Amino acid sequence: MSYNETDWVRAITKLVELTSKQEISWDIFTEYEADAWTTVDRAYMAPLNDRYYVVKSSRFKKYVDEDEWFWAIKFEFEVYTQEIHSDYVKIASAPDLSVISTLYSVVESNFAFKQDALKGLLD
Amino acid sequence: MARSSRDQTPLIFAIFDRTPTRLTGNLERIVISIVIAGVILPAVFVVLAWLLNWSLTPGGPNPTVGDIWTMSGGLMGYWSVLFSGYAAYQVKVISEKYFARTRFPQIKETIDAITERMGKAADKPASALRSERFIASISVTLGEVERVPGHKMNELIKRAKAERKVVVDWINDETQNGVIANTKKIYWTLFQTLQEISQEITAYMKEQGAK
Repeated sequence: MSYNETDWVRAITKLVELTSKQEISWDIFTEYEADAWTTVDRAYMAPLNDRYYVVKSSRFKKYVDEDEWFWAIKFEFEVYTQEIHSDYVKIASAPDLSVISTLYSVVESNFAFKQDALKGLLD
Repeated sequence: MARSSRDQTPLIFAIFDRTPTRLTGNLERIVISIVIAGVILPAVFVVLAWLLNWSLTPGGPNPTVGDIWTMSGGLMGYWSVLFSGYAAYQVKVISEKYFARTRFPQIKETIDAITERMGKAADKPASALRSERFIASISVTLGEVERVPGHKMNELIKRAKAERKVVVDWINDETQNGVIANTKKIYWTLFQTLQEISQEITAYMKEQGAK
């Protein structure tokens, strides 16, 4: 058994829904598993039912030929667990889905709102 | 879907067994088999004539040079009609493929923009959603997907259309003015269906890119 793309889309849709209802809250996350080929610009994490959902915005070098490249953006979604007093362990990462960028932007705007980014300017 | 039917392909299809494309599917196999059948039909006819002692030449049992020229000329003409028909069919296939190739990336972008908007607008009440532009663009975009030939997404589009109608009816319902969108199950179902369409387009583009 394994999860297919539709399962991932359903799960991430559920997270967008929960985020929108403010039933889960996202915070900046730094303990993701690093990868030498990608630079993570920003990662958010939300805990839910002993799982830690992480959405990352990262950059990677996209090569057009052998030595020419440009920075390309991708959004990644990963699931972590954590035993007591130990590190986060990645248990799954989603395939490349466009719904992840939607999740990221919803999380980002939600986070800005939660942090009161426009504090004092809207009075 | 086309791939699973491969096991029971008749021999004539198997001769020219080419991977069916998502765009043409079984239609391509049928066309190819018609062409093959058309090409070998004269040979069958000749064998049959020889077995049954039919006279193929107008000038009696011994063909003259003129007879041979007439027959081979006729045969060539017959084959060229067949192959030009096949070429015309292939031109149509290629033009559809390129149409899809240019349209789908734009359509996918639109769908992703819509779902992003939906995700961000989900904390608004129905009365505020009425003025949102994305509600109107959903049906336009679905229509655009529908008009791309060979998309194989009829089921998804049908579902999305039905769900969109429920959402629009809800938004326009005066008694529901204060209800927040993210509490409505159907709002998220529509969101998910649109994402599935976007995913399906990505898969389609990948397949086309591999060819």
